[in-house]
Amino acid sequence: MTVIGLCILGNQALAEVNYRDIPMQAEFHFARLAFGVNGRQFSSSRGEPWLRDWPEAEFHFLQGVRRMTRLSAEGDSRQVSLTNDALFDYPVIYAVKVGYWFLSNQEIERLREYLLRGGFLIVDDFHGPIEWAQFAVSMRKVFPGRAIVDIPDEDEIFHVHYDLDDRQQIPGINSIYSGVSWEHPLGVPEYWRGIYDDHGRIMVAINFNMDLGDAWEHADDAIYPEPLTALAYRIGINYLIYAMTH
Amino acid sequence: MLFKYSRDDYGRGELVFTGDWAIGLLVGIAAFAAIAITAVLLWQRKGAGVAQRITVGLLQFGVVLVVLAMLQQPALKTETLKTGENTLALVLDNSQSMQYGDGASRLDRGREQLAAAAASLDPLALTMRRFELAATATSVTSFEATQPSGSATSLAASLQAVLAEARSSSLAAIVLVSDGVDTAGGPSAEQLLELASFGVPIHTIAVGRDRMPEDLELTQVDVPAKALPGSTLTARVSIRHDAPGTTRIKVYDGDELLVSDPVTLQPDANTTSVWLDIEPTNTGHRQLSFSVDPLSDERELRNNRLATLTNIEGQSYRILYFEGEPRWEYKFLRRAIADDAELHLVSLLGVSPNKFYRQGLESPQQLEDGFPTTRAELFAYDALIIGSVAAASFSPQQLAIMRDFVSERGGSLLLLAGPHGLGNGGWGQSTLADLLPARLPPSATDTFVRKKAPAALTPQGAMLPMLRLADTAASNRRSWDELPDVADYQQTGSLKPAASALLNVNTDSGAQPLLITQPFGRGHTFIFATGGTWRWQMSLPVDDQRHETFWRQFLRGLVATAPPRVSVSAVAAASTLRLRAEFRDAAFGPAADLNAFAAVAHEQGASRMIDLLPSPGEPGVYVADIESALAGSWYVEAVAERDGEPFGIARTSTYADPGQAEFSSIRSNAAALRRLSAATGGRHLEPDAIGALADLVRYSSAGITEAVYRPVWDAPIVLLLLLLLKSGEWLLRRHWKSI
Repeated sequence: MTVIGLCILGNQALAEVNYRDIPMQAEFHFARLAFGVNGRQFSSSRGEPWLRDWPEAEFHFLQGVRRMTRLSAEGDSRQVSLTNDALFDYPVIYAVKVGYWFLSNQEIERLREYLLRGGFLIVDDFHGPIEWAQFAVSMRKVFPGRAIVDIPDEDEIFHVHYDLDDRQQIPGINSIYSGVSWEHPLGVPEYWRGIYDDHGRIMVAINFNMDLGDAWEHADDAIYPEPLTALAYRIGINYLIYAMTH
Repeated sequence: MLFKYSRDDYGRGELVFTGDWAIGLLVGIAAFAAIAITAVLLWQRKGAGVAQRITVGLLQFGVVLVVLAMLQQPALKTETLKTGENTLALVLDNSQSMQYGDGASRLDRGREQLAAAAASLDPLALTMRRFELAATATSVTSFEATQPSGSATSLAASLQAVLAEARSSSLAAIVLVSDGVDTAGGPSAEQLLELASFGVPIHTIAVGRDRMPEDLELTQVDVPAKALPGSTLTARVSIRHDAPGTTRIKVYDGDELLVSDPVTLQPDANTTSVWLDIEPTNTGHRQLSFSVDPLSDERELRNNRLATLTNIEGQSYRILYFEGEPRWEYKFLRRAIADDAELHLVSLLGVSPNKFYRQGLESPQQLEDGFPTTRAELFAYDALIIGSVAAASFSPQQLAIMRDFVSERGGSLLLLAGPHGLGNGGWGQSTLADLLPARLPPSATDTFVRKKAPAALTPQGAMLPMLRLADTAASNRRSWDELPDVADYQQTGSLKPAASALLNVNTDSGAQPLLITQPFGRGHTFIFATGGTWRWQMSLPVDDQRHETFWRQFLRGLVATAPPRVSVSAVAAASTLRLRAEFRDAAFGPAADLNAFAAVAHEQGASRMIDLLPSPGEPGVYVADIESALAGSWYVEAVAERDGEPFGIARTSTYADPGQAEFSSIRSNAAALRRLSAATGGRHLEPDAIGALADLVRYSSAGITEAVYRPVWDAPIVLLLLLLLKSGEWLLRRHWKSI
């Protein structure tokens, strides 16, 4: 059944659909941000960076969300781009491999507008200084006057549901196979960073040198350490609850 | 005079027989006459038919009965005032409104009419007592020196004073000349009953015109006594007029013009009411002056303006929001009012079955044990929002205090839609069901629909300031029409009779209520059948403030009607400033045994401390009157203490203009005088019918009276009746020839 379910999810993602017309089945739908790479438009190809860990990551994660919170969360995964008006029906979006993204001026404008209206962006699974630079350059265009800062331990985002004072680097599955905690030789240590709005609320939660998506994706894999999976679940849930309360 | 006396004489008198003949003798004579007539008809007129004989016999017997009745001396018995032993009160209105007039003033005309009335009553040798009438009655020896000087009029209070003062004498009647303008708003039905209980008829004569097409009158201005800085005040203004036309209404705050709007005077009504949106730019106690531009030939301008005082003051209101599950509406509602310094939102969010997340806390202990379980804890809030949470999540005790929160505390309860809200949450079957403005569907039916739909203003909603997103009515409606769809909606069931739908949602199956409200006890309940206004924020440009404006105004509307624990009001009535302070404890029970007093200050600096005394029959209410209050702004601070400890403090202000009331309504009010005379058994007389006053007073039932018997046997009708009976008999006999 799981395989069938994943196949269905896969077909849904690969189809060109107008997401605005898809009715909401729950309060929360996991929305993955689609973006282009190296100056070209995004595609629905299975190998696209923005689709990394899809759909297993959200499939596993959402089960945890439903089990450990009262949040009405549907088990599907939806994909939105910055240029589609459907973006604004999803107040939380999740983006991976943002070290590869290429945002047009229009997409930069839209992302700024989305975040200032109250949207929340979680970025994950990017590593090393080169990927950081690409991401940071883009975000400076989005918010020229706002710095990317380390989120202090006492920030509410680490306490809103779980107290996450003891965090550690969450690696991808290949790092586990290699017996290291990083995916890139220069991808240490991990950084919990964010961009704040004028009211001191986090608009962008940045997991740098980490791969929560892999921890969710391989939650059913005996090789992946259970404590890291549990931590990734807890961080993800805190992000969601924070995004729905701040 | 066929009956010798007038119909009124017969109406007020009683027909009696004054003869000494025994009734038995009269009956015997009548019986003998009947037998004799029958015998004669049977013996002498054998050729006549039976019907003819009976007819003739009845006519002859009728003559006998009339003669016998006259022998018993019928008379009209009437009670009339005993000459020289009664008192009459002549009352002349000398309030300032009596100075009006076309040519002669109303006072001069009234003086003339009372003089004429007194002259017509000379034969009765009445003792005349004279009173001037304004806020109360004053005894005078003559009206020669009477001037229109009274700054207020109370017909009821004045007449009660007349009746009380004249109680020791035999008061036969009161004759009142007035324009009927009563600045005290009366006389009320209760006051009329009280006046009637004295048994003294009050005859009234009206002076002045009740229609003045050349005049505009600003009759009423309703403005909230207090408002939050930055909010829009909505004032209701009523203009009295007797002709259609146009004018312009202006509102000033000191020298600053706030509003200047044209007004079309309704052609088919004599009062036009308009709503004005006022945006004061200054804070503190603000005197707002309203005026209407005069008509071209208008002479009296003092009734074209009114002033009122309102307090633009920052005040923090507390709202408790209990949400059963993480929702976008929760987040965006909090964000919408984040910058509003006057609204403090404390929220409790059910994040997981075992965990609540608290926000907006004023102390770490606040809501530590979840939703409040005591009245004092819940009543500290001004409004309560319940989100997507089932009624069964609350204990019976919590539901009971939520009910008291609305009915006794006077708070507002807002229920939001949600998968576990409204009907789905079993609120329609809960103990709070009767508070709610709609009959919610049973919980077995899933009424929550996750489908986008547009919200639309209803006519009632369009009139409310809290649903105003733009300045004018047209732009406001357009602004609502252009809003993005809400994310979801929920069926509410049918509305209750006292409920109003302020917003609708247009669904595939038609329009259905979206925002509903109804009053309950001292408070109000609301149902907002969506949890999806967050789409307004996410779908509109970031500089579009409609989402924020809606929630700020809506929540301000919710808390604005919640009475504070300690309050004071000051009302200027005529020259009296009436203070009324209400003190309640933390559970909003009346606070008795307080030492309460008020610091009262006039705008010119004079201030004093006065004791506030418990109001009989109103626990927790303390009152005081300040007599002879000066015109101008008054500032009041009511303070209470218990056992030497401060209990509470409240402030208010008001604007007093004792003289203005007399000029604010210059049209005569003959209807009030008619009600007065009808209630007391008197008569309302037109100025040209004063001649009737003599008879009205002569036969007054009050005072010292005597019975007068006036014969009726010699009335022309008696002779005419006898002639008719005999001539009828004669004519019939000629016609029949056989009898």
